Formats: sequence, C-alpha cells, structure tokens
Amino acid sequence: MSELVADTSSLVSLGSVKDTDPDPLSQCLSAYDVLVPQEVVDELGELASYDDEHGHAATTVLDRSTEITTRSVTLNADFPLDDGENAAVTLANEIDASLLLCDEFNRLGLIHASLADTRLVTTPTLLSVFVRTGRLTPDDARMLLDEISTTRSWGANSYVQRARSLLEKS
Amino acid sequence: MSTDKKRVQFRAPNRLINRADALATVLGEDRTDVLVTALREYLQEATHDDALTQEIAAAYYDGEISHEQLKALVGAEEAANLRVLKQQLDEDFVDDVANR
Repeated sequence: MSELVADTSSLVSLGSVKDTDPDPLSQCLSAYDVLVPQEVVDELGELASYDDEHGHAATTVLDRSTEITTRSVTLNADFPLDDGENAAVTLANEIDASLLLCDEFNRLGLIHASLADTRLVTTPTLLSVFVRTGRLTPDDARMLLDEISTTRSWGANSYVQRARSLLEKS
Repeated sequence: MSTDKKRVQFRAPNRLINRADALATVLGEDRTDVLVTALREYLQEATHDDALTQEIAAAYYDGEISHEQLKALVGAEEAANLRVLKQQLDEDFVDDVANR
C-alpha cells in the first residue's frame, strides 16, 4: 500500500465527518498506510481539549490512532513552516512517501516547494481520487465534501467550489 | 518595483475629479499623484479582501487571467498557493495521484 503522510489540518477535515457510511477517515485509512509525525499527534491532542467541531474531529482521529503510524523526526530549520507542517514535510521526504495530505490552503505554495518527490494533495482532491478509484460514488464524495466544508468554513472558497463541480461531472 | 509609466485616459464624474484636484492643491501635489495614491491604496485593500481574492482565484482557475497577472494582483506567496490549488483541479493530476 502507498504511504500517505497527513498533517493536522487534513486529519481534522477527515475526522469532521464520522457518523456517515462511508466515512472519509476510514476510507483514507484503508486506502493508504497513514503516517504522522509526533508533532501532528501533539497538535491533535491540543485541539481535542476544545469542545468545538475541530476538537471533536481531532478526538475522532485520536480514537483511531492504533491504525496510524507515528514517527519521530528532526525538524528541518530551513522550512519556514510551523512545527506540525514542518514535521509532516520532513517525514514525507525522509520516507519518500507517495502523498502528503494537507489542507492549509494558505501555506500550500511553501509546502509544495519543500517536498522532494512526494505529491501534495488536499482533502477535496483526495475525495476525487477516491471516486476515480471506485472507493466512493460521486454522490457520496459530494456529500462528504459538503459536510467537511461546513466544519472547515470552506463554503466561499473557489477552489472547493470547483472541486465540487468536478465531482458533479464525474 | 517597476518605475515604468503608462499613459492612461479615462472618464470620471466631475465631482470626483474636482475633489481630487482640491486635495491635490491642499497637499501641494498634482492630480496624478492623488489618483495614483488612491488607486494604489484601493488595490492594496481590495486584494486583501477575502471575497475579492476568491474571485481573483476563480478567474485564475478558469484561465481568465495568467499566473503573471495573478502574481501582480495577490503577490508571489498567495499566487504560489493558488497555483498548487489549480493543479489539484487538473484531471491528469487526479489520475496521477489515483495511480500511485
């Protein structure tokens, strides 16, 4: 199975929908070997202490932590990124992961530039990939994207709107 | 930043130009200085407005403006973010990720 490194933002997205069948976190865990650096687990733990949607999503992910591999890395001081993103990029480069899943839309340029051979993907794109590989129907993918968009306040984001239109065409 | 200048002509309401001229007199500048400052400040503010940034991004995703034009509007860093997002919408990119 291909290796996918996830950063905190993307795990919050995946964990924000849990009472649906299919649910996006389970789909991701069954499609990939999911790895995270310790920093991401720490960030999820901090988020989980808040009683809000992001906190509940972080708790949902931590509840599945036996299915996620945690690794320690030495942060690369050259990356102008926060610790979680820095560690995720460092881990992806160290293990030459296939994919880095990240939803920090305002940091993607820097993250993309810091990756060696790993492809950067966002959660809306991952849902399109799951449609392409037959894991999700277009209808299910749209439903999941709508739910995630609500938690992440992505409603006004043009990229997310276009990703949704692509799901309508597929 | 480029100091090249381009001559432009446009029509504007009399009252607006009269106010610009009055301000220019007070500041000891000419009309062009006032208009250029106003335009620069408007562009600066407008491109920091998230709704407008999303419209600019949409125009870029749809191929209505080039990456160079995008960069001129939102700056290099944001343009780099939007370039990654545009790639995410590319069918070949999705295929490539699906086959990994």
